[in-house]
Formats: sequence, C-alpha cells, structure tokens
Amino acid sequence: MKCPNINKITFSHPSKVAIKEIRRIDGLSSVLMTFIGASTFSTIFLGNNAIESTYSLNSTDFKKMSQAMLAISSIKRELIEKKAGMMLLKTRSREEKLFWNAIFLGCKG
Amino acid sequence: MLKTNMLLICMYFFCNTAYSESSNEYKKLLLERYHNSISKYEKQEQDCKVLSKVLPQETFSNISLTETELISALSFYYYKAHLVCTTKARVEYLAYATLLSLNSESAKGMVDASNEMLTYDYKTYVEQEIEYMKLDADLRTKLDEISHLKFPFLLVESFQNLGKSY
Repeated sequence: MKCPNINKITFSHPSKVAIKEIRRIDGLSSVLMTFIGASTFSTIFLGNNAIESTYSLNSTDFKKMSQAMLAISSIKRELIEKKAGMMLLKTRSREEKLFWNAIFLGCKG
Repeated sequence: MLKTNMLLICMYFFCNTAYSESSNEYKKLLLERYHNSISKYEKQEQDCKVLSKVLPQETFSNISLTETELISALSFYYYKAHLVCTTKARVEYLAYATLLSLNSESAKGMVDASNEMLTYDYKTYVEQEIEYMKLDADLRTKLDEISHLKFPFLLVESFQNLGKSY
C-alpha cells in the first residue's frame, strides 16, 4: 500500500497515547537487539578457554542470536499492527482513520 | 597443620574454579534457551495469526449492541483469545527470562526490555478489560457465551464483516 497524503491531522488523546506506545515498542526492540547481540558476544569472549571461544563462533550461538533478533523484529511489527488495528476502530476523525489504516496495512513509500 | 591449611586452600580454589565453570556453562545454556524461547514465541504468534478467522456475520445476531459496545467487546475478546493462544510459548519465555535474570546481573537490562515487549499484550488486555467491565453485566454474560470469541480472530476484518465500516 502506498502511504496516503493526510492534510491537517489533529490527533486525539487516545491516538497520542497510542503513538507514544508505538515509539516505546520501537525503542524497546532496538535496545533489545543490541542487548541480544552483546550478550552473545560477551558469552563467547568471556568463556573460560580459547578453544571454547573458537568453537562458539561456529556454533549455534550466532544462529540462535540472529533468529532471536529476527523474532524481535517480527514481534514489534505484530504489536504495532495490533495497536493500529484497534486504533482504526476506536478513532473518530477521517484523517486519524486514514493514518491508522496506513500503519495497520504497513504503507510503504 | 600447615599441610591441612594448604590442602583446604587448594580445595577452596579448586571448588571455586569448578563452580565458576559450571556456572558459566549454566548461564550460557540459559542464554541459549532464552534466545530460543523468543524465537518460539514469535513462531507461536505467527501460528495463532494463521489460525485467526474472520467472525461470521451472525456472531452477535441475538444481542443488541451499540457500535461503541461492539468495539469494546471485540477489542477485549481479541486480546483475550490471542493471549490464550500464545500462553504456552509465553510461559516458557518467562521461565528462562526469569532464570537468566536471577543468575546473571549483566542480563537484567536485556531481560527487562524483552519482558516489557513480550508482556505488552497483557498491558493492552488489562486496559481493554477495564473498558469491557463498563458494559452492562447481562450483556457481558451474553457476550461470554459466544463461542466464536473464544478463538483467535482478525479484529479489523471481523468488524467489517459484521457490516461495519471504519
């Protein structure tokens, strides 16, 4: 879906709260991805011996780390989609509905 | 006496090193399980989404509802059904996240962030429950008997199928 042009949108209080929550979710997912990456590396480099560290670089650690990172990205998208869907039903103004519909459908460009 | 003391000191260092190694192994396994549980949760969430249906038009045929009441009921049952569907994966995640947090001070920040993210639906569910509880008790009893609302459904698509436009 192409992102719509929305003129003069005034957000109601519930929309403002929902936007704040989406920002929070987005921030949490960014922090989490950094943490997940850092935790895997610290496990590898703080290991007790060099052999284990060398082994760990080729082990499932990286796979599990990248899978968790992809999962976080998907969980974030789902949380935003659910929130946008609910806001689409709950808001009243046409402009707000256009806005939440675009978020719900994941407009691009 | 000196020999005994030396032996005790050696034992202390040996045991401490052995414990530290097993503790590192334990933490490493917990971290792996924690990562895995996030991936499993995501997979279960996707499976639940695939299972989600559009509510049939006759879902509320025997009940009189205003549009506001309908939105309130749909939002509440939408989150409730979603939470029920994802419970198993969420429980596993919470178990490993708690263990990791208890055993690794450095993992606390990460676990706090993932806890907030993976329990966000509960937050929204409780908020929706507060709205739902404002509905008349008789109406809530009738709504609670609707079997379609007990399984995951698509919120926006169901609203449209019920003859409503947004």
